[in-house]
Amino acid sequence: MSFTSNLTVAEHHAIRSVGFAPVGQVLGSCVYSIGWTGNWNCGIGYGWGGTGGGWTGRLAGGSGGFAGGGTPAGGIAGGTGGIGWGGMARTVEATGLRDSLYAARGAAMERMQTEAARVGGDGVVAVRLTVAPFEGAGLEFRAIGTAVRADGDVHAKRPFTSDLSGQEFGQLIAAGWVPAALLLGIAVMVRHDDWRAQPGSWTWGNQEVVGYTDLTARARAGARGRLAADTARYGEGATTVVRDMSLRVSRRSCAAGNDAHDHVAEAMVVGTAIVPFRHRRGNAPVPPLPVLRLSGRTP
Amino acid sequence: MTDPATVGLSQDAMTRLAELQPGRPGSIFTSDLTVNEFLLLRQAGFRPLGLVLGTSVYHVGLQVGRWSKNQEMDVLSQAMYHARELAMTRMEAEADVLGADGIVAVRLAVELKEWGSDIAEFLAVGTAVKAEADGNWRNNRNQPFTSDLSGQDFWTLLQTGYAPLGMVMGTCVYHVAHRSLGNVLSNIGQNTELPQFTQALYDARELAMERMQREAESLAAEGIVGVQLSQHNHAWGGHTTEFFAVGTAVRPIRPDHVVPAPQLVLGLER
Repeated sequence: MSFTSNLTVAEHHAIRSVGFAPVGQVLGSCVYSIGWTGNWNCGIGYGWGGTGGGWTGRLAGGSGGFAGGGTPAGGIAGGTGGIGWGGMARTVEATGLRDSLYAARGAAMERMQTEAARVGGDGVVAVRLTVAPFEGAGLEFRAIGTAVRADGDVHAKRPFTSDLSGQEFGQLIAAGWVPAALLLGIAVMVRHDDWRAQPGSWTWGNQEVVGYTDLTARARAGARGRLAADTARYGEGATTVVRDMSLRVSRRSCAAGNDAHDHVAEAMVVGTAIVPFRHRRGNAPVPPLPVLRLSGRTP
Repeated sequence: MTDPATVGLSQDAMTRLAELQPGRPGSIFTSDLTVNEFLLLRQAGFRPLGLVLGTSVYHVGLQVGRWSKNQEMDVLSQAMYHARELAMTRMEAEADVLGADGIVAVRLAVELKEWGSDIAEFLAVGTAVKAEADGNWRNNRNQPFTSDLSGQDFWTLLQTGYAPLGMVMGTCVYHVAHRSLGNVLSNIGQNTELPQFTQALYDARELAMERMQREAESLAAEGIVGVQLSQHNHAWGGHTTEFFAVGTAVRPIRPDHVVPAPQLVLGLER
């Protein structure tokens, strides 16, 4: 049977050399509408102790459930920032928006995984996650990759997902590690702008903006914490190799009015969880061989 | 026909995947490494403990340079240094909590976001590691070592008998004088060096490098490898520039530095 893939020739070779073969390109897509449903709760003007949120999402078509990215349980461990004070504005988590982002990406990955299982794949390599505006109906979340199948007669119950290139996949298998799942850590934090976030208005000097530091530190800590919690589901010795870490910050009008503003920080960490396995058939991992390239220039 | 050994390899991998079970807390870790770096690090005898990170959102003060004077903008230099130091210290504190011997593949970044002018996020990210074997890897301040070397460079450095001590940096924000009208007019249509500009660039680089060197000396380093010298204008316009020098201070871990000759290869890729 012929296969389709977006692998380069070198990637194809690397995958073949560790006993896997490509079976086909697989895709999962989810068009998701993220809506504004009422107040934006930064904890100011709507009482104390708000947990953020107000955004809810809904699936626009499709029925695929959500499993791929893992559902984080509970909130982030508060007080990790190490910066404490009493009183006014504080950083709160927008759990509604966070859950929507998880659900949309999770649905796309789940569908891709289902497609991979249907073509007989044991896993998906080189997964790319993209988000693009969908004309008139929110955002399209898409996951695309190449399904691979083991040459032997042992097969995975459910295909693994990974954003590794073919070469990286080959390297890992040869060294005794197998990818388990592509993981996402997402956190969305909101903070009301108060005097701690407005240094220009009271000083011209060098000054750390503690309010914003707290916001970014908590957003990043939340995303990392969730990634670590998801990695734990893959058992003893599991590790995640992170591919990308990003933070988006935007400024919005506060629902409390009076020309007040909130800052929203959306942190995301993407990586692949890998687990060690033992070679039983005398395929002991080989140590690296230092080489000096004779072709081209080193980058 | 497929090689039976590679079939066995894929079977072993799939068997393991089928046996996955939720693990005990504390036995897992995350890392900001590429696959290549991760495997090399393991091979070198280090275990990643986790991704560590420090951040500081900083308001950079205001300072106006004299129009026709070459000068260091010390307020800005201090801001750029202090903010990075805050981020690095927080990252090191995280690594210390994990009981790390060091932090590898550290990235320093300055990110301008929707905060308003003069405010930037300073970020330090790396992977905390611990040596499998005993040994003292910490530096003379009993802090985990830091290094901005990639996993590949780290592996190679260890092979040559050196170990990283710490990332060292120096910064200098410099205002380059504008040329006087007379100078502009007298040079019209001529190929000529502008010594005032040349001098300014030399002075600023020298200041940044010297500060970096002084940091290395305080760590009792033998030398600095992988120095990167960069210039950033940030949001200060054309005449005010940050010169930033950063590298990894190293110490010898054995007297000889003989390395086996590498294999020569002719790559098939472009």
